[in-house]
Amino acid sequence: MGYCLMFYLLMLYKIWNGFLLVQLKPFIYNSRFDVFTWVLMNTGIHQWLLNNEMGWILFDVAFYVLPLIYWFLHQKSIRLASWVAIILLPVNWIYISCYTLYPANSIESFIPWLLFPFLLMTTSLQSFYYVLNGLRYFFLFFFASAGIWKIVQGAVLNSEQMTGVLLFQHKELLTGSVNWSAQFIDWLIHHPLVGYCLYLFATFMELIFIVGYFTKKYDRYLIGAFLLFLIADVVVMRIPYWEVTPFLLTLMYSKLKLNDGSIK
Amino acid sequence: MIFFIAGQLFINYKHGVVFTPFFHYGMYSEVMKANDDYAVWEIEANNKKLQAADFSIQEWDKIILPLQYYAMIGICNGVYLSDTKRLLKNIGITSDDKKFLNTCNLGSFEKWYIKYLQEITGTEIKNISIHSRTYQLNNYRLEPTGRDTLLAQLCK
Repeated sequence: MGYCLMFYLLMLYKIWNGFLLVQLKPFIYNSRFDVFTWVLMNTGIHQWLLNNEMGWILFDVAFYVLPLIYWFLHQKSIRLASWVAIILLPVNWIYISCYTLYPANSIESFIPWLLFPFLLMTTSLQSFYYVLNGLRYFFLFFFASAGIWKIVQGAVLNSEQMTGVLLFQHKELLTGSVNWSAQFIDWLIHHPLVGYCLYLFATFMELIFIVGYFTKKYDRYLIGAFLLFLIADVVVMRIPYWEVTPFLLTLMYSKLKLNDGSIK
Repeated sequence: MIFFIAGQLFINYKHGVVFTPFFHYGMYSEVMKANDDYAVWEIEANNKKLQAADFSIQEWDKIILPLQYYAMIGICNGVYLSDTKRLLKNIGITSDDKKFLNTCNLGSFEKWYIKYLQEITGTEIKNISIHSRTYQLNNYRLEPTGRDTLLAQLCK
């Protein structure tokens, strides 16, 4: 239910911003260094979708209707719903892999959409519990590894890091007419120490997700950290990363315990 | 679960090619310094330069990303010919060049892009000029130089 609700809120967000396939009208694609993507590209499906309105409608309908069918069937029969989830898995993977080859969004932000079908496939409370916890660990890794990479690659030791990132990310905004966002970013660039502290703070925020591997006690704070990160991503980086929000569910329900075959 | 952990650790260890759903979540973790100059997209529609500040984040992404993709065609083709083809062969898959290689067809791209831009801006576009201008960083301020590259020159 929670996943379907978030999924359809994100669908409305995509419609509002014109990010359905039928609205994007893909004409061009780029590849990425991903073996799964290459295997998919070798089928030619990404080219079939170019300038193919019927193809876009078919893909959008399959992708956005299946979770609704799953939700309806789940009220009647968990087993039937799990069959829909089995179909949902390849549909999501093919849709997202193609979608992110076009000028739309990066595939990394869609990771919950790729993995949640595994949770929806479960037919027993026990397997649901274990897959939910597995997804929680994946989510923790998603953030914690970003912090670790910043240390391993030495970016945290580069006092010019945030200045370099902001100039690269916002060069078009900074060379055009001014609004509050451009003024704020320009101010950060002119105050490299403040920008650097912000980068260090973001790294710290990512690293605190490691705590989640040892205890679930602070998950509500991790939810707060996650939301703060998403908002800061929009304000500072102008990167809307809302597609990862379904991962929130893994923290919201992490306190559930498996007792005598039931979840409490 | 063990499969997922092993898969993710392997991808992190290799730090190169990925395999969906195992990615590197770097999020600007590579060292980035302030460069001396930057290539900035400039789009003039009906003789007026489009300003990022006039559009939402999502709209601006939709305006800029197709240009970046078009300019990247040559690089993507090069990566396919030098690496992808060989790596796929290593795992026993014969790749079909036609499915990977893209062509730089400026005429049809511009035709599509104008139509696309009209939907975003809500205005009819009678003429368009797209180029990448070099800006120089001077005391943390980006200043335009006379150097600019047309879209046609970027996609090779």
